[in-house]
Amino acid sequence: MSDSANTPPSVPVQPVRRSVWERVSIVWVIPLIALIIALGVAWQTYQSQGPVIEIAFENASGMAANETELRYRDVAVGIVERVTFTEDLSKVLVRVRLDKEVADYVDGDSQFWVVRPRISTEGIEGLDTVLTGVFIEGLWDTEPSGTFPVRFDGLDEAPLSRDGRTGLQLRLRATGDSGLTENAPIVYRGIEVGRIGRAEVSQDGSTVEAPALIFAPHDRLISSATRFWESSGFTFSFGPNGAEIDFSSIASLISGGITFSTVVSGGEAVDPDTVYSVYTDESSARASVFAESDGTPLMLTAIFEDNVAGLASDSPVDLGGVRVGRVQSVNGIVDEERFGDRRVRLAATMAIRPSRLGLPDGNSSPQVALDFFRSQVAEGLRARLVTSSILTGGLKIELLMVDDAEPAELDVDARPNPLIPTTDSQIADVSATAEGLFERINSLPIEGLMQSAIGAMDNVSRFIANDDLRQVPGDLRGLLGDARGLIGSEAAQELPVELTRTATELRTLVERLNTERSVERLLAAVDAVAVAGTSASEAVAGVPTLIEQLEAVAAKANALPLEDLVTQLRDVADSANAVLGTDAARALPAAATDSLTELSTLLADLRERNVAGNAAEALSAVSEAAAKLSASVDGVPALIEKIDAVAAKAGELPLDELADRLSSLLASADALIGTDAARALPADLSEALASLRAVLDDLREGGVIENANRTFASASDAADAISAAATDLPALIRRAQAVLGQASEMLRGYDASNGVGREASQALREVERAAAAVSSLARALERNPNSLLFGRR
Amino acid sequence: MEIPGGVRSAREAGLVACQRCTRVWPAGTEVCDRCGHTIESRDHLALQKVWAWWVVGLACYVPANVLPMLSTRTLVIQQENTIVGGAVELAEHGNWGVAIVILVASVLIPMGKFAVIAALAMSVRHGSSMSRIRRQQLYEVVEYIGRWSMIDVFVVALLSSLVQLGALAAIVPGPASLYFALSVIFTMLSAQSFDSRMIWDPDAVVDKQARAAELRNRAG
Repeated sequence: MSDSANTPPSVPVQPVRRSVWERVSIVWVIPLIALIIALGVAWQTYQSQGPVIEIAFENASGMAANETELRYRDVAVGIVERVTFTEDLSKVLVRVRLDKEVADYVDGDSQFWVVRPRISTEGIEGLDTVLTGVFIEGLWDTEPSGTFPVRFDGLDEAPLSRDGRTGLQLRLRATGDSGLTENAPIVYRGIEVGRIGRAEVSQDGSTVEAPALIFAPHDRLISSATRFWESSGFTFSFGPNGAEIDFSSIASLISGGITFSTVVSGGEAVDPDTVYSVYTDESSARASVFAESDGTPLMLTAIFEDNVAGLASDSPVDLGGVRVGRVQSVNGIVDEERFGDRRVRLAATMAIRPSRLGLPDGNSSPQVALDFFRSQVAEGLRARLVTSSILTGGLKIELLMVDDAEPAELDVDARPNPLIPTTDSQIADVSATAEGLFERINSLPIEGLMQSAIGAMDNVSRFIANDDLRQVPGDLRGLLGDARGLIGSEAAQELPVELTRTATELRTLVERLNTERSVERLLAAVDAVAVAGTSASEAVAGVPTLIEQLEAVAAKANALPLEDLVTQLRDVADSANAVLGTDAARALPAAATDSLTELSTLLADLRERNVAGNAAEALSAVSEAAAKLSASVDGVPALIEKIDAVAAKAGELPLDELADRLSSLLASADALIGTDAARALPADLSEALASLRAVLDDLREGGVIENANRTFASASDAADAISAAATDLPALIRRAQAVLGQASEMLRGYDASNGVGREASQALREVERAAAAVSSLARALERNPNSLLFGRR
Repeated sequence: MEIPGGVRSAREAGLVACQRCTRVWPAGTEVCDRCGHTIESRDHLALQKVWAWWVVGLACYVPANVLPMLSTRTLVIQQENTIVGGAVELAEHGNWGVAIVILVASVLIPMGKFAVIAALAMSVRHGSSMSRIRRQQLYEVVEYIGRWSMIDVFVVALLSSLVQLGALAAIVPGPASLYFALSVIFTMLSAQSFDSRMIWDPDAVVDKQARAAELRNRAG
């Protein structure tokens, strides 16, 4: 330490009492400030930090922590902090740090979905996400809510009412291939007014349902009378105006679309989530307004044991013959637990319209209808399949009461629809029925019928071929020739003139009668006759039986030897021909003419002497008589029955012999007519007519008219008498009945003994003799015609 | 009191130098007569300043490394890189040279500065096994090299001003650049606050022991 001696002694450093500010550097303020700033920043960061929510998504494609944003109306309001899985790895859990400003608004109703780029027929959406990556879009209401859940379920698809699009949310239901394509537009008069959401198949698989949004302010177009139908694709119609193709828009052509219209006025505003049906075209949609304006249908399901073809959608559902609904869908069903086997059964879903059931008080809610069906099923109501069209084999469902049905009840708790019990089907087999018909036709004895017909024709042919029959026309021609000669004579020609004159007289007479109001009396008489006719018609009721009997007689007659008869007839005709051919016969018309002239003159006189009045009285008497007659006719039907009986007996008679007798009688008549005396008869007649004329002349001169008047009066009296007698007529008829009864007995006796036949043949012989007497009489007349008028001298 | 290496300090020689104009005055002079600068033989608050700046600098260095230094946005992608992340990415792409430069300039040098300053400050109080001359050299290196730490910030500033292609691409300085710049500044201030003359003072520990012995002698 030698150095220390040289150096100045170290200054004893006196520790100076320094203030804190002198001992501590001012620089320490800097770290303090830094610390304060850091703490301030940390505190502020903590303060401004929003809450964390977790959103579960199916997948996290395109999402990245600290990059993917949560946006609300395209403004970032949060960021994804972490992407993890849920506990069971079933979903992706995205932790999102919300901004503090919006945290209050996020509540349980908030919706989150991922916006991704998307190209569809309606356009391209989310194009910005191609560059920036996906983001999460959130939607919540504008009402702050204090609390919110930490966990949310993210939506797979953007909800319909996004981007602040508000409007009326509906549900559309369609059957079959519908146009319910997701995101398809709803077009009204060519303007897009709504969107369809994701369609889902309903629980029972029969319909498709999709949510739909009608944007405000177009939602005021929707009412309870609105109907939706598909405008998708194009319509092609072919008719008298040619082919027509129509489609609304390219977008709807590709992806389908729905349009709607309020078909009738008076619809009411609807609540959100109202279900509407979507129809396939406009016409059916419009028709449905009138068909289904009666409330919500009641859905029932029937499961049929037999799985037969023919039942289709829209097949009718009948209740007691009235259509109460339609088949909505037809499905097969296999349910081993329920039925015990694996057979396929037919499950038909029916839409019943409650208003068609005629329930009281117009109460047509499905629930009331369901109660109605429940009570009916308990009493035996069952569903069954019946044939609705024989030609097409189409089926329909019939609800009917089965008397001896096994107990069953409507399964109200069945899903998806109440289940109605079924019974055996009644399906007509057309082919079997037709087969039976053909078999019966086949078994008919057609060949036997044909053989009988051939035999009958042969007989007819043989009959016509008979020589005698062929000669008949020739003889007839000869007879007609003679008749023509007779008519061609001058006297005959004058006959019409005379007749005309007589007719004129008669007409004048009738006019007089008219003036005497005789017509009314006649009418009365006619009425009486009408009554009589009625009685007669009743009597005629017995005629068919009579006809049958006559037929039997005719059958007998058929068996007679007609050929002989024809021969005889021909001979008679020849004889008549010869008679007509005489001059005397030709002179007959002239004599007749003269007589008519006289008659005409006589009638003229009669007119002058007011005969008509008497005649009228006589007619009234006749009318009364007719009335009596009509009363007496009542007994006639019985009489006819008797006649029937007689005819029946006659039918049984052995007419053959009788015919033989007749034949001989005719031969005799032939001989009679063939005599000269008979030929001379016309001449005698002519003379007799001449005498008649002379007599008439005398009569006219001798006041015959007065006598005629008196005669008519007598006739009137006589008519009165007849009238009186007619009252006795019923008794007479009874008598006649009795007589006929006896005749019937007698005929029976004839049948039995054949003795009457002999009697008849004797009678015929008597007739023959009488004819001979006539012949001699004729000869006497020929010698002295005047004796005809003045008796034998 | 012999200083190893035979160097006598000015203080031991009873002199004091003006820090501004380097005029040497006798010990005890308060104000430099030539430039009017306050003259202190030793800045007794120097170590406090060193430590204060050092703490702030280190505090700023943490966010500078954690926060993104550079935000690169192109049409397709937006990328933010921290300093180390960027270097690692460059290295992965094969740019080893650049990656090493960045790592050296942004990590190695600042960290080294913190360590050296802390070590120098500690050695003043507690002595060191390193020779005084070596420590003086170390201090000079730190003070010299400190300004180059700003090269990172310069690169970011250049890129940000050059690559502004609108929607196509843009480079934006991240928050870390600010912290990094602050960290560099505070580190430089910390280094400057260090009074290198204290390196040559007798070790405080020895000093303390000597003082204690002296007090005992007096009492004794």
